[in-house]
Amino acid sequence: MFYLSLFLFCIVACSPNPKANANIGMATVAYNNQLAIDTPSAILKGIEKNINTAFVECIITNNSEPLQTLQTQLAALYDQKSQNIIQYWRAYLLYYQAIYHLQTNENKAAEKATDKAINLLSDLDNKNSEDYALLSLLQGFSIQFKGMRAMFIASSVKKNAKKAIALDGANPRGYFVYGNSDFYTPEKYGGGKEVETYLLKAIALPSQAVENSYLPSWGVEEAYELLVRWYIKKEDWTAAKQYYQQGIEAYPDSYQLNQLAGKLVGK
Amino acid sequence: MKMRLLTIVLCWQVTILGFAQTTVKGFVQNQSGEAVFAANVFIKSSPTHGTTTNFDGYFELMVNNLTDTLVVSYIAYQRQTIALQLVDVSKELTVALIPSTQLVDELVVTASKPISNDVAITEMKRLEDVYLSPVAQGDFLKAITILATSTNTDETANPSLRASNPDRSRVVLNGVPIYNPVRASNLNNQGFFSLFNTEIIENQYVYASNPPLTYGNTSAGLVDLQTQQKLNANQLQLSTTLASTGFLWSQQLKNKETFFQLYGNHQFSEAFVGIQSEKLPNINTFQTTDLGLNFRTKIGKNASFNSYNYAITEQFEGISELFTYKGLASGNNRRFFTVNNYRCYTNNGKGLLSIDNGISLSEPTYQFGNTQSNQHTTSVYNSINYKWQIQSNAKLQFGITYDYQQHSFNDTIARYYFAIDPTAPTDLVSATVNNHLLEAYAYNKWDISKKWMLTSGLRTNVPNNGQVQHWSSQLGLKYKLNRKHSLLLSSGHYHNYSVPNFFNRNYQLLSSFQAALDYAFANTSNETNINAAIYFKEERGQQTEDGLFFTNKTNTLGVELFVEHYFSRYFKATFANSFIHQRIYQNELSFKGNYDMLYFVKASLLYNHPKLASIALTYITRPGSPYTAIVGGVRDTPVAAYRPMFSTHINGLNYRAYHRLDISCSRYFKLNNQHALVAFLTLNNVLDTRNQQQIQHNFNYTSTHFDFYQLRTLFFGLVWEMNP
Repeated sequence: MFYLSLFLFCIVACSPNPKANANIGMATVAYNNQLAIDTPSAILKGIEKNINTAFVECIITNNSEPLQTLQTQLAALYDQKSQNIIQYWRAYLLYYQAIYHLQTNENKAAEKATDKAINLLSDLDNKNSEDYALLSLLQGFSIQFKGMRAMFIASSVKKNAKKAIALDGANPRGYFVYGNSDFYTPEKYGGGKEVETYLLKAIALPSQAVENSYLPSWGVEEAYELLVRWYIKKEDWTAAKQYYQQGIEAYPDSYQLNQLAGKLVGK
Repeated sequence: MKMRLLTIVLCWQVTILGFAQTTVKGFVQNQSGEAVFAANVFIKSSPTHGTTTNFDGYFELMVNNLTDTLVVSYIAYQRQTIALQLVDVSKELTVALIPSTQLVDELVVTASKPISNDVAITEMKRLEDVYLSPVAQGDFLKAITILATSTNTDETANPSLRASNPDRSRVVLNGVPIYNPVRASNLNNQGFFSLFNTEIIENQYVYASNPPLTYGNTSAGLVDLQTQQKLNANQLQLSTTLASTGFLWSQQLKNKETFFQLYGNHQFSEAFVGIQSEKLPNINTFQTTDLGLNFRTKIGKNASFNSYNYAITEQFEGISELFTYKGLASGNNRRFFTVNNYRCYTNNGKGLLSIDNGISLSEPTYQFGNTQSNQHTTSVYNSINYKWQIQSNAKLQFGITYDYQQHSFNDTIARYYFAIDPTAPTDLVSATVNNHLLEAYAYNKWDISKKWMLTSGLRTNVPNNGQVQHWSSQLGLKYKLNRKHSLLLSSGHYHNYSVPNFFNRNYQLLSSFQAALDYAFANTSNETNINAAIYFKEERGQQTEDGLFFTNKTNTLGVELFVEHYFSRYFKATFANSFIHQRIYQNELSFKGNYDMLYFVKASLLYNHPKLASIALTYITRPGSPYTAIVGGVRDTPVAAYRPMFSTHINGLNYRAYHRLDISCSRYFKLNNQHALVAFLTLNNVLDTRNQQQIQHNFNYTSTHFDFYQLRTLFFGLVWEMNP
């Protein structure tokens, strides 16, 4: 169900969003009118959105080619320009390839893609806040494949999320992945105590300090959705409704948030 | 009028100047002068009016107002601001980004690891390597025995590493050596478990050979245990087993980094021995009671204090046999130790000052035949160490250690070593010996490049009380081929003093020269891990073999392989094998060594499903240990006992090959959010193999029989966990 939700969320995420488009439009005017965008970097422009679009295309056509094509282009670009940011997006794309493989019941391929993404990020020198946040997300995602090894990975998930926050206290993705990890940590192992704090912090931050289409912007919408689920779990209906309302105002087309509406009706 | 006209003209010119469109060009670089791609470049008053740098670090930005400020920012770098009025915008700007302050937490984590952790052969963690180990039975030191580097042949938890006598290796807890780290060690040589509660320990580093010279007094290997630095959740555990009851209380005080862990156990033999007395022919009763307290607190932002205190009383009674006498053996021990550590991070986490203190007291007694031993031992250990990150790729640690030991003996010993009968003549021995070992060391780690790393260490003593000055030194070179493959070449010259015992009441200076080549393969998705090694050791110094013979040199050549593989989500298999060629020397004569083995195979299969159960099979096989035959006896009339006639061929015979198959299983039952139950059962030596441990003789050495290692025994228990 989680992956189905994620899939549908991604479809929605790529569908027209007036507010998002307004932002992108503003950024587009500001950035695209400038002079110095060379050809190799063009592939990275709006890369997060492009990956999401390719993923949806894969799902609709039941063919992994769109993501694979983008992956090949990024790999070729990395051969020319060995920049960490390219590896970041390759890892992010592999994450979506893994989700696609899960949809097509290719669990082994999904695990392989996740492991490869983790390796790409782990190998980076001088990892920054974004690298650690994505690494943490991927490690958390990989737990489902690891059977008895799951518990070994769990500690790294939180450690890397903390590093992401420590390196950039204004990065909402660091707070989201930490809250996400704490959400799924059993109470027996000290989980569930910091979910609220970290997710509240995530939603209080802008998705990017300065809009930049080369850099990541995910995390805030996901934080809203998880926060509402947390309050539903705790049966704190007032807070659940409050943050649902806030979330849906910021992301009116969010499939995942909309899915939660039914659980709040009559509460 | 002129003034007004001038003002208008000036304002007009400034306005023209201010609103003229200008293209600002520039280059953004990092601290190394490399181009920064995708850096944000924008005008402060209008953050949306901006651009980003291209792959080569260049940008161009149309600016309307030259009185504004240009901002350049990028992830992990400090934001740079440039007042455009102050620069010549007609020329290309160069903006150097300065990294944000390095992550203090990360530095602290890095600093808290041993400087030598990269040359540890194995790092073992509580969850994966101990609780899920098929052989550990929840014990850190026992977890080592599954590794190829472990050459324990006596079924105890006392580590023997790469075919060295355990007396040459050291176990350290938070930097403080713990001598004789096993409980019930006198229980017919069955030191079943270590003294350390597993819940207290977080990590264990195993240096199978070439121990880092940050620690002294070891000429073989080192096991470095570290207590928990954070307590993630409060917990109360109550346990009851076939042979014990116990509790553990873990409680946070102010935060995760200030907490205590209190535990106690009472072990008893009635049920364990009672239901399987025929399988434990040499154990009558045993009883131990222990209490431990670990306390940790954070002091301010940069310092911490940890205190681990432990007390145990042990009693046992069983049957022992030596030469021609077989009879009751009994012993008691009272023991207390405390380990205290102060750690303080300095220089923004780049330096770590550590002050360690340990005190250990014990009073073992032992009675057998005409022999009675009453000992009192005192150990005091103090050290002050400083670890300093000189550069991002170089670390240096140096310090001074003081290791004081005192052993007092009040023994009644057999006047004739072979006449143990209670009526045989005895002598009284009363002696107190002590050793002050004051040493200084320096240890350096240098990451030459991404692939190469060099470590070096130097250590020497400050001679006193007749000691000779000795220098220990070492070099290690690690090559990381890629993230999967690495090679470690290490060698060094090491020293330690033996621990006095009933047979040898002196602190003998022992030394070794070691060289080892270790290969490690780690599959990045953690599916397969392989460790292989070839090593050589030359160990010098007088040591006893079974209390009977002295040797002064041992040469060992070993080859080992360890493979660990996870498969089908819930299975893990391990395989380890060692080939060891060992010779011991008595002056010019050489004989087969105690660890001389063509193979030493340890294989295990673990199935662990969190919702079902954990089941493990472990199989160990090796050739029988060598021993020296007694070819006959000569009656010694005054003593009224037979004196054994030893074969001149030391270690000329071998016991039968050793085989042991163990099965253990456990199941976790979650009762509700706060309560859980863990049930476990272990069947040791399932096949009830009679593995020969010690040859024994009749009164005149004309016939022989054997003592055996542990026969098939059953052990089970329950642990109730509560998370308040």
